[in-house]
Amino acid sequence: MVRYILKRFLISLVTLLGLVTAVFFLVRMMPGDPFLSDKLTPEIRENMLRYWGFDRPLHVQYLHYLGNLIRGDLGISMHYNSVPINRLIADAFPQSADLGIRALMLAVVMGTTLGIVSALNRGRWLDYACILVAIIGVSLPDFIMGYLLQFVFGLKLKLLPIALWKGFKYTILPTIALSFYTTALLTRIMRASMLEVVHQDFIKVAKAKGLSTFQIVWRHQIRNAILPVVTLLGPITAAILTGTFVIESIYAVPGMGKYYVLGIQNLDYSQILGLTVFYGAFLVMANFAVDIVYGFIDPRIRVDRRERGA
Amino acid sequence: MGNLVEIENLSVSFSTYGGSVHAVRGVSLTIRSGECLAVVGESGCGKSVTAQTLLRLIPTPPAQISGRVRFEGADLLGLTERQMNAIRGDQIGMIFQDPMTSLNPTMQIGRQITEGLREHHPSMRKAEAKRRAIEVLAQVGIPEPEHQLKRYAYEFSGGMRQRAVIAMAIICRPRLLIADEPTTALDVTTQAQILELIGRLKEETGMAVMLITHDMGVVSHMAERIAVFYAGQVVEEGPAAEVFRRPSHPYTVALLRSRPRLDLDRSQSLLSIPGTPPDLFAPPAGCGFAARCGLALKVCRTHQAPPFALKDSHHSAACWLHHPLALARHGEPTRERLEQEVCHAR
Amino acid sequence: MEAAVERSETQEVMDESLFERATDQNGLEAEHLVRPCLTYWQDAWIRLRKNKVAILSIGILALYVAMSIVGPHMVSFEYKSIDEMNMDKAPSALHWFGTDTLGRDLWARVWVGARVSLAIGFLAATLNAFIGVCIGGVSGHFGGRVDMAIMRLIDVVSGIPYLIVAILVMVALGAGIAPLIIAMILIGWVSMARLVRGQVLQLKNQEYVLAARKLGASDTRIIFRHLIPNTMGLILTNLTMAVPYAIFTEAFLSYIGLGVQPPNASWGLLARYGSQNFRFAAWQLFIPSFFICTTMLSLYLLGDGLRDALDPKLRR
Repeated sequence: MVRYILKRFLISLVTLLGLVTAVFFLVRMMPGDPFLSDKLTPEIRENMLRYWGFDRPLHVQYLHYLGNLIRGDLGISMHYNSVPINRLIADAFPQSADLGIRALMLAVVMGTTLGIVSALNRGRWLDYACILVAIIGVSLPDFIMGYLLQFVFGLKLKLLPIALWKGFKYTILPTIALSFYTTALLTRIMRASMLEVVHQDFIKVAKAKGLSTFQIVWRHQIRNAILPVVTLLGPITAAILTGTFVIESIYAVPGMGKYYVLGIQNLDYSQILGLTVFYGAFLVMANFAVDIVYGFIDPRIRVDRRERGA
Repeated sequence: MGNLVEIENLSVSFSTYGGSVHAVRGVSLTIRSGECLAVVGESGCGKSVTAQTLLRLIPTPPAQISGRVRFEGADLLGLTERQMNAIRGDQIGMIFQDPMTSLNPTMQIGRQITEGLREHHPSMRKAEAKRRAIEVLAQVGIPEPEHQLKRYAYEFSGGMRQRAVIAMAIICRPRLLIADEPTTALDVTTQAQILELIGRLKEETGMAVMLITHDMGVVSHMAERIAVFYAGQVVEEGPAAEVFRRPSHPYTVALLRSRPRLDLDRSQSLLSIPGTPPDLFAPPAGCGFAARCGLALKVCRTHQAPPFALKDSHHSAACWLHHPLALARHGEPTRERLEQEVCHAR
Repeated sequence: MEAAVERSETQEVMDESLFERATDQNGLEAEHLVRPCLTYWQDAWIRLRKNKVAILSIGILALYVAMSIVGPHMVSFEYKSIDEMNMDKAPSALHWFGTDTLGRDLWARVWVGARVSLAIGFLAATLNAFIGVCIGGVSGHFGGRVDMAIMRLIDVVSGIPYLIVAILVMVALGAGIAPLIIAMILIGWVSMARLVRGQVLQLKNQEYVLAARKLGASDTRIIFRHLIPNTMGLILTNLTMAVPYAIFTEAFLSYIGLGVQPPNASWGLLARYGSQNFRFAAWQLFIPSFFICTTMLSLYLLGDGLRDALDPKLRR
């Protein structure tokens, strides 16, 4: 198990380094630079570039950036006069995380539940209802879902607030909009997984032991069927996190998405870089955590994945 | 010895997209207390389905089951699910073919072994169940049983897993153990060990064993009685020694001749039975084996043969060659004749 | 000779002639195959044809493709032509899908947008699948160090969030159709590669592959004649599922302003501009959204149908 954790940790580190490198150089490839403005004289421009260290060779800048990163310093925003990126994140991340975690929880709970209900009622109307929800859910991009909910429940029915972030009532629509796709995805996966497990011999063995249906489903079927869902938690977290960009803008939630989009529009190198690295690190960590959790749930994985041809 | 299990005229069919598969067609069998009945036949002949029907493991629908299955006098097909659960695992234990997939990969072995016990004895304390699990693991020959409880299936070899599966099946001391091809997935030395283990457990506990196999060799050491299945029917049934000495259905003869034997000289090649079993989507009107049988009579193509009792009254074969008219016309179908005809015809 | 019928039910009087030897010695030939011989693909096609939902999906997709070709010509408006007198007009007999903020006819724009959206979706997914199959096939077939290196690469690449990289590539290369496809390919091949590798690993130890190898078949022959055909069902199903994801990605990137640029049109871009006035002109958002959703829906349903049709376990 220790070897397994260590191996996963190393892979995460390499991934992170690869991400930082890729992002650093991609950002520098962007056409134009933040000081391309008619209002600036060439002299000021020169000074600005020197001030930000852009006159130095690229690899020196890169190493300098890595050095700062290791100390936990994500740099300073160019656009918001000298605000540290760390401060931007501290301001905006709680709202994004709040929304993201709500959506993630809702999606996981709803998705697995619907998947289980659907599989256990295979071929009956409840199953078809779940499949219908699932298939519609994966076919609705989250920004469309966001507007649709806003239109129906906010504008037409006037049941819930259209936008802003001022209490529980305000969180309902964005949370549903953000989690709907993932819920649907998990429903599909959980259902398929349940149906696959039910044909395994050990389910028959459990039945031959005289266990009740409830015990078979709970102890044997669900426990094994949930494994693929756990492996997907990493990508799902990523999907929800990127989904927050648009959902935040639709519902005017004061989160990180705003700064990210603004950073892109202003070509604010350090802001894009800082926020992307933050997102990336967050997701790599989430993947790492999922790997570890998976190792605990599935005893086989601890040995060697190659043995099983996985 | 009384009859523990009485199966009467059991038929099982499955509805599929392509029509109905008649997997079991009018099977009647008995298993006496404490005896070992071997059910022999090639894959797809309905032996596993019959066994699983005994525990009602076959979901209906899509399956349709008719006939009667009595266990200690109670009609299993008429019981409620709850009553059936009280029998499963407690009165009847079952071992499946593949030990690799019979164990839940994410549950500790100890818990898998005790869960059946605790289900049937809800008042039993955890420590007591654990003690019993260690006892059973020792009984099935797993070394250092107290250390194995916390391990997972993937840490066990195939033979060890099958032992664990057997431990799961016998922990409640069932009256009947159904072993569905328990050795097919194992290598040869392990096969012998597992069979010996099942035989020893039978002697020790006095339980009856229904041993399902496609391998006549497996049967010869253990079984007291043999039932030969073909195309969803019992074609021959009788005491093991009798069936081996005087096989009376052409299929049984062919089956015996198709396994390697040390007592025949090498020039006699192994027989492979040509042709394939009938399509059970549309079973033939007559004997299922007629199309592959060198001795087939006209009647074999049109009528199902009833079981004909042979000289010793416990041995019977469902073959028209034993009908008085056939005997009068063609003489007695002795083993030699059957062997010659069945094998010669190729 | 003393043998007797045990049970009485068959004690009917039987014609003695029945007990003659069955004369035709060709008993074995009587056993003809009842079911016709079908190849894997014929069989799959028959089962797919029975699946009404899948056929309906194919119909919808075909309709959209056809409309993307003829649709813009069905109205007299050019998709780019601005009409200041007819801004934000609701759907009517004249403008079937209404007009946008600049008075452009939405019917024309939707079907021109369909060209872009569908082309990007199919192209990106196909390229992804192609790259994924090659890399996965090589990795699984050769194993050893090659496999090790590729797997580590896959581990690393799949750890990087897809949309973030897509966004960055778009930012670096500039918005447009080509950068959009490049961005989608850069990471999209991973899941297919993983899938194919797993399949190949499973297949390559099967007896028929070993037999082919022992008979002297070359690597290329084994890969193309044995491994890929047997993985094709899975690849095809996965490809069908990847197209809607590619369409979604295009829509998402165009929606946040990084994809297709005006005056060009794509469904995602139309949704983006529609969303800006959706409080008073909801059709501008919901019409392109409807096409995005139904296209994705049809593709997913078709994928489901294909999976069922191609699953050898369901073959009868």
